[in-house]
Amino acid sequence: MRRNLKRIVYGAFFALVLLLPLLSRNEYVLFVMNKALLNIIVVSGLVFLTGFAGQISLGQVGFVAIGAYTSALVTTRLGMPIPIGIVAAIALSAIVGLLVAIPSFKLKAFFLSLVTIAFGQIIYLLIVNLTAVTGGSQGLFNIPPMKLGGTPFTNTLYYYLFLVLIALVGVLMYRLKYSYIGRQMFAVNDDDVAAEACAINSKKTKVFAFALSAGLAGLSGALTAHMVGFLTPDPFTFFDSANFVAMAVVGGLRQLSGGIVGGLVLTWLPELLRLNISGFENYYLLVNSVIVMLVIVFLPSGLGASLFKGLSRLWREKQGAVTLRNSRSKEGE
Amino acid sequence: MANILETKALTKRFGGIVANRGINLAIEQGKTTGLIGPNGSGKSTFINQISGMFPPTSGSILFEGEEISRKPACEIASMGIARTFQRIQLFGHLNVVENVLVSRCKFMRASALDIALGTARVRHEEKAQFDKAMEFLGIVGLDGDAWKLPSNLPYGKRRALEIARALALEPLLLLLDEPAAGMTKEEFVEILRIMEILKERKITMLLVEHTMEFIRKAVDRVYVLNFGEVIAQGSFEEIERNKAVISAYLGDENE
Amino acid sequence: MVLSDLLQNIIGGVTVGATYGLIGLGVVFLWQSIERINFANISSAMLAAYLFYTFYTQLHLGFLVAFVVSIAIIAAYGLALRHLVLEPINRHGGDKLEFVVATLMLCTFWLSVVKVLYGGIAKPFPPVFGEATSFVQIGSISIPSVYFWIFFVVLVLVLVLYVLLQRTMIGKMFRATAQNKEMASLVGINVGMTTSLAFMLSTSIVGIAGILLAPIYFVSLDLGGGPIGVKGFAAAVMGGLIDPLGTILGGLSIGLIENFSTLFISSAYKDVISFVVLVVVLVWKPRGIFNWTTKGD
Ligand SMILES: Nc1ncnc2c1ncn2[C@@H]1O[C@H](COP(=O)(O)OP(=O)(O)OP(=O)(O)O)[C@@H](O)[C@H]1O
Ligand SMILES: [Mg+2]
Repeated sequence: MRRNLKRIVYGAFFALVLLLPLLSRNEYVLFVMNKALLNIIVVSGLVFLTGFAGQISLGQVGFVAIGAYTSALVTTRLGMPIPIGIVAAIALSAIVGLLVAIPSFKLKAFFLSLVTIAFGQIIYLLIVNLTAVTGGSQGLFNIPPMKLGGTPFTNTLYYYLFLVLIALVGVLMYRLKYSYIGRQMFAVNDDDVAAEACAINSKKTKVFAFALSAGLAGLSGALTAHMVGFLTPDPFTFFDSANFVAMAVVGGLRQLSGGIVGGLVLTWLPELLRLNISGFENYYLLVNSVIVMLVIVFLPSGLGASLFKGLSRLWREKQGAVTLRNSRSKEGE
Repeated sequence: MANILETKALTKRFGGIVANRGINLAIEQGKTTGLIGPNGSGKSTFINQISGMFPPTSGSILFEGEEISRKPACEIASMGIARTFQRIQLFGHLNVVENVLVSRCKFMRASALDIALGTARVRHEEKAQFDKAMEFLGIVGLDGDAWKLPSNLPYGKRRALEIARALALEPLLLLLDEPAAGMTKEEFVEILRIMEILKERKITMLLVEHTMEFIRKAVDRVYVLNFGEVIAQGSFEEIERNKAVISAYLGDENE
Repeated sequence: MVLSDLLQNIIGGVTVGATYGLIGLGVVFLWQSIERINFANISSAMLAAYLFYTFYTQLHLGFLVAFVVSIAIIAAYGLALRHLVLEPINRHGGDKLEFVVATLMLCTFWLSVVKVLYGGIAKPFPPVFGEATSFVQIGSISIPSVYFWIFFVVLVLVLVLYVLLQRTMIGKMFRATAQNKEMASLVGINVGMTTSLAFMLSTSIVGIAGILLAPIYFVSLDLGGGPIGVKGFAAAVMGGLIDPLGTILGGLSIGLIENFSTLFISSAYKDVISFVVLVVVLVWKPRGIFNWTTKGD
């Protein structure tokens, strides 16, 4: 009975996700949904970096920007096909991620967050000022869209592409979390001195987490560039980085679903506010920030965690372990 | 018998304080070596240096003949030196068996790619290491608490878990920093029992302790530190009669 | 000519840098007492500038009244920050990261509040520190008269703080609490009150810095986010997040670095260079380069 309830709830959710483009013919809804999916990719990386490995990044948008501009430049200036652009974007972001990880060996919490803020700002200012390469504040135009048999992707196609990618990312994150690599992340997060005493190389662990989250941010940036078709520095400010962290915290830092919940909620919330409170152009950001603050103050483990706690109470499951699959934990119960 | 670890003129300064001064100490294979001394005499500092938490100011540490004083902590642990901490340091968000599994990471051979692809090798390895971890929990009598969070364990069991986690590294040398500190009578009996098992298993240990009863029962040879220097060494009986040791401890008490 | 350029830049750098130092002090006072960074630290500067603008230009109160009322409100805001943000987060089991994100959101919140109430367009700051065009000519160097004001106020403020921290009970309470909370409360220091004071002091000083910076940046949203805020953090980091004098010196050096990179490289990269300096200091000397309060090993 309970088992069935669980199946029904999840089944309905997945059906809704899969059929959304058929249910809503509204291009705007799909476009916002696509933005949400792109954000989910970035935020999942942050959940991994901050929630699992315990390293704060307030400059994540820097990696998104590197990915976006890399793929855009590779496809426009070099005339390479889009997949190569995307791979280059992931690779370059991940490499820069390796470098940004180095200060994390010595620095903790706030000090690290300051380094990452500075990193994000440096990337932003470079984009604005390296006019010859990035087009400066004018931006880059005519970035090729993805094509299927010669015709550009519609929003629906992008939607399904992003869903597939998120599924792949989700599987990757799931497997990493429930492996010794995930265990290393959590150990370093809880106590890096004790982790070292257990033969865990905390530097390698941090580098891995940074590179992975940077690579995901780069992927998201590259996809954005091709979907939107142009790039300006506007969406790459400090406040956008802050917003990604807010999504991760609101969604719930310590579980994989956090990225999905946070990305969906905080992409839709401002849009809904803007649409429904007419004439309130300026108010939506205000209301948005108040809501986020309230969630953070009153549900510090995140909406995702509360949601799943509620659901698992519904089907009476026990949460046994962090990095061991549930089947195993039931054996023990 | 051979010495598994030797320090030569090991010195550690913190600003003006010399926490360890020219310590020459040898740990014999298969034996339990004790390290005692008044509060602040530099015992934890010594353990921290051997396990690579602080780099020594000068001097050398030879582990199985190899110089390890400049190696990072994780490498030293990986070579076979495990430790516990004076103030228990467990992974608070991982449950009991996961805490032990953390030490088994070094035995995992699957690459990130294997994990991403979810190969059978990963599953087998995870299963095998899980069973191993449960074995180590069994040694310290914690197999019944495998799914609890450390914060839900009583103090004595947390100590035991920390020891199980150290054992799971399958170390050649185990450093224990005051394992019996702050324990109740029953917990103390339990920790003595665990020590017996470790001795039966011929695990080489360096034991820092304040409780003389514990030291008397557990160690084969004792070093005494005072103000960062070794002031005496020998069997427990020899140490007990040593004047310098008595005055170091009495002086301590008179304060 | 070259020499006067140099002097001009030194004076400009030191003056603006002094206000960065003040913003950094806001970070330092909070860090000392609660080991948290308020990422909305810089919002106090913007709020104070807008409050002053409202009281002075719109409500025609006198300079002194407008100034005191603005700063009083900002101080009360500091107290509210403690009771409406920090304490609820602690009560609900949140930690450092939650405080970080909450204050980041606070920063956006204040920006949007100001946008709603005043619109996004910068307002000219009333010429209380002399007209924008009034310069004092010394030889071949001309110094904007507002620089003298900034200098004067910073100097007075630093002296007041020095007396407060070194010569009064409050300073002792601060230092004791910063070093060890439990010990401090054992020896009878009211840790709660010290925390409140730290919040109020932090927002007020940044508020004063905001009013001083407004003639240079206008009464604008620029005062409430981004680069200026980060420079305040950079100043605080140079002082190891603990040393007040080091923080002021840190602010001065950032002001100088910024002005000289404008002179020798290009104004476009002046912010980049300040951020690079921040990263280098953090990585190379995480305890700060002007830090005489805590000794390294
Ligand atoms: N990280 C550190 N920084 C500065 N000084 C330190 C540090 N660690 C230890 N010390 C100093 O070194 C000396 C030795 O300390 P240590 O902790 O090694 O003593 P101990 O013998 O373990 O004492 P206890 O019995 O209280 O555990 C003390 O004076 C201590 O203050
Ligand atoms: Mg000790």
